[in-house]
Amino acid sequence: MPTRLKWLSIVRSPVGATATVLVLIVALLAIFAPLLWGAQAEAIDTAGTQQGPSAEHLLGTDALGRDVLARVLIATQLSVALAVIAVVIGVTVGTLLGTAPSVLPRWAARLVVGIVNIAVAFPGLLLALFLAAVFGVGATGAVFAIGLAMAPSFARLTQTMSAAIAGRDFISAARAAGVSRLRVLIRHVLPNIAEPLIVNATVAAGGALLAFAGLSFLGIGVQVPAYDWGKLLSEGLNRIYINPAAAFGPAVAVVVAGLAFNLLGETAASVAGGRVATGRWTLPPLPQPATRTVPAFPNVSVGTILSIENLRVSYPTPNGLVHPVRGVSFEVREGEALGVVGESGSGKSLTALAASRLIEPPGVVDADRLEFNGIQMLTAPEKTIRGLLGTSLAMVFQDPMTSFNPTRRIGSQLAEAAQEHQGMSKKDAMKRAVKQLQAVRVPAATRRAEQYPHEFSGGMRQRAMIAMGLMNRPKLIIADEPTTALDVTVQRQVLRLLERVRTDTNAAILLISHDIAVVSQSCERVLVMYAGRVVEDLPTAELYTGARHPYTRALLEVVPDLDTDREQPLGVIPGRPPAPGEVPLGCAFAARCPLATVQCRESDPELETHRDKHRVACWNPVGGDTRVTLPELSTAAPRTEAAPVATVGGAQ
Amino acid sequence: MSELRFDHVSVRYGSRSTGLTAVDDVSLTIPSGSVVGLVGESGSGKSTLARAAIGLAPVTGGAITLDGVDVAKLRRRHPIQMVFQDPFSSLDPRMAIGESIAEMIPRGTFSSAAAKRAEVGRLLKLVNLDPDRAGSLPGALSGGQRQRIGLARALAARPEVIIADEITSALDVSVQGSVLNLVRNVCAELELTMLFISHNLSVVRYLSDYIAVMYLGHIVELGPVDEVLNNAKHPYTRELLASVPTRNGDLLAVDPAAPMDVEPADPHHPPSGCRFNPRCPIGPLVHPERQICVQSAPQLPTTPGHATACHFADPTRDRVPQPFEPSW
Repeated sequence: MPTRLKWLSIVRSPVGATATVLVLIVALLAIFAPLLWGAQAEAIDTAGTQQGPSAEHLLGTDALGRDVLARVLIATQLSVALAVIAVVIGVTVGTLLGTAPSVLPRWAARLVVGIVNIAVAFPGLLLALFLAAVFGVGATGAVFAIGLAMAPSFARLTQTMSAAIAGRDFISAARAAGVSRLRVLIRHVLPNIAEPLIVNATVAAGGALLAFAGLSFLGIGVQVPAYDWGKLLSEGLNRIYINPAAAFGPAVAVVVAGLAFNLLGETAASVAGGRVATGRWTLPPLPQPATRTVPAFPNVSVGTILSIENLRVSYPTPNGLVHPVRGVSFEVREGEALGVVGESGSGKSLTALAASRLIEPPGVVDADRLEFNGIQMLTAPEKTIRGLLGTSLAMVFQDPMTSFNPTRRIGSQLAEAAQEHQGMSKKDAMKRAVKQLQAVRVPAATRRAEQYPHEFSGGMRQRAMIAMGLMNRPKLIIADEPTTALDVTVQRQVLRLLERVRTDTNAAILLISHDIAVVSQSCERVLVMYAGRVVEDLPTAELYTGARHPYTRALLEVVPDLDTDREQPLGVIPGRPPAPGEVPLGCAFAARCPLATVQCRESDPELETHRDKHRVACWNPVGGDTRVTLPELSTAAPRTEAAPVATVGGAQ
Repeated sequence: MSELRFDHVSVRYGSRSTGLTAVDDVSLTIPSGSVVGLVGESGSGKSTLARAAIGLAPVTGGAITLDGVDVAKLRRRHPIQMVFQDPFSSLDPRMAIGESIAEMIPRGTFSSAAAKRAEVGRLLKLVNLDPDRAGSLPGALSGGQRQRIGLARALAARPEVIIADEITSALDVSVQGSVLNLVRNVCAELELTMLFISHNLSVVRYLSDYIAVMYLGHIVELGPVDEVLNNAKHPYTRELLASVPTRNGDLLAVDPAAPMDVEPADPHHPPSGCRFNPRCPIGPLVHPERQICVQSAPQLPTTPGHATACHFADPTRDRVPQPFEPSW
C-alpha cells in the first residue's frame, strides 16, 4: 500500500479521526490563542477577583481578576511547546545513545549499553524530579529534566529496532561492500526505524504534557509570570472550594491534550504495525459466477470423504472484494492420497484452510457444497467443527513449531486431544500419546513425550504433529506444505510416514505442496491450481506423459531434474501469475500461455472431464505428443514481463 | 586469475564450553572461473562458510585466500560479493533499487554522477531489467526481479568471486529458471568464480562444475559434478541423492538395511569419530564391528579429483582400516 494511503487511513477510524481533530484544535489554539485572547488574559480587574463562573467569565476569574478561560486557552502554547521541545530532546538524545553502540568501538559500545540499561531501570518521573533539582527551578530546567528522563526508553527502543534491522541481509550486503558503519546507520538503519520512532514520540508527547503539568503543579516547573496548565491547576486548586471551575478548566485541558497525543500515537502505531484494516469492513454480497453450470458431481458418491463444489474464498480490500479462490471443485475418496500443486498465490493453502473452516474473518468462504464425512461444513455449528478438528480431520502445517504450545510438554499436548474428544483418563491418554509417538517412529518415545517442543528437531516436530493428528483416528489428513521447511532427507522420512499412516489407517491425505515432484512421488492424483482455480486434475501416473493443460506442461518443463540437459538454458514461464485483484476476464494463464487464442482471453474455460479421472480447464488442451516450447531467456536485451513469445513444436 | 581457497578453515561461535563449531577444518579450492556447488542440510555450515569468505562470520582457524592473498586484507577491494537467499530482506525497502546498486560501486570508479547512473543502467540491462526502473522501490518488484537486482548489486562491486546463497529457494519454480539462466550466463560472460550454495541437488547439478557435500561442519565428499552424482561414494551423499524428488525416482521406497528415522545430530554435541556414524547405513549401527567410525574421524584426501571422507567409501576395500593417525 502506498505510504500516503496508509497514513490517510488513520483518519478513517473513529478513534483516529477524533484524535486528529483534537490535536488540530490544540495546535490551532497554541498558535492563535495569544493573539485572540492575550489582552483579556492580562486584564487585571481588582474589582472582580476570585469570581465564580459567569456569562462574562465562563470559568470565573483568578486572584487578580483575570479571566481563567482565556488564561487556560493561552497556556496551551507554553504547555504544548514545552512538551514538544522535551520530546525532541528525548528522542534526539535517545536515538544518539541507541545508535552509538553500532558505530563505537566495542568497549565504548558496552559502556553506553550499560548506562542505558541502568537508566531504563530508573523510574522516569523520579529521574525527571532529580534532574529538575539539578537543573534548577524553572521552565528550562524542567524541559531538560523531562527530555533527558525520556531518553533512556528511546535509546532502548532504538537499540532494539536497530538490532532487528541489523540482522537483515541488506545490511550484510552493504557491509560486504565496505560501506562504513556510520553510512550504514544513516542510509539503511535510521530510515527503517523512523516510522515507529515517530509514532512513539507522539505518544511520549502526551506523557510529557502530563509530566510538565505535574512539575509546574509541584512548583518546580514554570515560574510566574509565565504560566502553563500545571501552574493554573495549582492556582485553581488553592481555591477549589470557592471556584471549582478554575481548577476544572486546566485539568480538562491537560486531559484532552494528553489524550489527543496518546490516541493519535496509538492509532498511528496500529496503522504502522498493520493492525488496522484499511478500507470498509462491511462486505458486499458475494457475486455469483455468471457461468455456473452443472455441478461436477451430481451426488456425493459412496466412499467420498470430502466433497467440495464451487468453493470461493474472498477477502475485502480497499479496492473491493478479491477472490483468491474462485470456484474450486474436487472430491477426496477414502484412503486416497490427493496432491494439490501450485505456485504461491494460487490459492492452494486457502483451499485447504477453507475446507476445514479455518479461514479467519474478514475472509469469507462460500461454496455450493462443502461436505466432509457427511457433515455440511458451511452450515454446521461451530461446536461440531471444533469436534471434527483433531478427531476425524487432522491438520499438519508447514511450521509445526507454531502449532505446538511452546510452554507445554509434547506428550501432554498429544494426550489432551484424546482427553478432550474421547473422554479418556489422563493416564490412558498419556499412554496413547506415547504409543502414537512410537507409531510415527519418534525414537525413545517415552522420554521424548516429556520434552518440550523446542527440544525436538524440525523433522521430529513434524512427526509429533502427525502423531497428534493420529490420536483420534482421522479420516482425512490435510497436510499444508508439511515438508517445505525440512531437509530433503527428512522430507523423505515424513513423506514415507504419511504414506505408512495412509496404508495402516486408510486415512485419506490431502497434500498441498509447491513442489510438483514431491506430489508426483507421494500421491495418486494431483490437482494443479493456478490463480485460484483448478486448471487440471489427473492421476499422477499420467502427469509426465498425459498432462493436457499448458500450465501443467510448463511447470513440469521448468523444474530442473537430476537429468536435465545442462547445455540448454532452463525453461522459463514468462510473466508472473496475476494478483488476486487483477484476474483477467478470460483464462488467467492466457497472458503467459504460448497457445493462447482470442477465445482464451475472452472467456474462462470450465474444468471439464476430458476422460476418466482426468479433468482440464483449457480451450486448447495440449495433445498427447505435443511439446510446449518455452521461450529461452537471453541476456542480450531487456525483455518485458509477460511477453508471450513462444512457439509450439511437435504435432499440432 | 581468481582462485578462492579455503585452507583448514574453522568458524566457531560462542565460548569453549557452550560454543558451536559451525565449520570445522574445511579445505576447499574453487578454481578460477569455475562454479563449485555446495550442498548439505540446514545446520551443515554451508552458509557460514560463505559468510566467512566475505567477513560476515569470524574465521577462528585457517585462512581464506584469493589468489594466495588473505581475503581479510582485501576488504578495501571487495572482490568477493554475495547474492542472498531472501529477496525480500536483502534489499533496503526504503531505498530505490538504482541507489542500492550505486552504493556498491567502488568509490572513485566514476567521476560524475551521470557516469554512475549510466553504470547502474548497464547493470540493470545486464540482469534483464529495464534501466528506467532504477527509481522504483523494491516493493514494486516481484521476487524474481528482486533477486536479479541482488545479482546486479553484487556485480556493481566488480567482483571476481560471486557467492550465491540459496538464491532460488524463496522463488516460485516458474521464475527460478530465469534467475538460474541469468546467473549462469553472467558468470560465464564475466568469467567469474562462483560458490553456489543450495539444498536443491538438481539446481546445483545444473549450474556447477564441482560439487562439495557438507555434513555437520565437514566436507564429506568433493569432486567433479558428474563424478559425484553418478558415482557417489559417501553414504550421506547417497542418502541425499535418494531423497531428491525426481520424476523417475522412488521416494517412498525403503532400503531395509538403512537405519530409518534417525534424528539429525545436534551440532552443539557432534558425535565422536565420523559425524555421520549415528545415521550411517554402512556404519557401526548396521555393522557393529566397524568401531573405527566411532573412534576416528575420516579425513578428506587432498588428492585432486573425486575425494570422500569415509572409512568404508570404497566398496572394494573390505579390510578394516587402522585408526587414522595424521602424519602432518
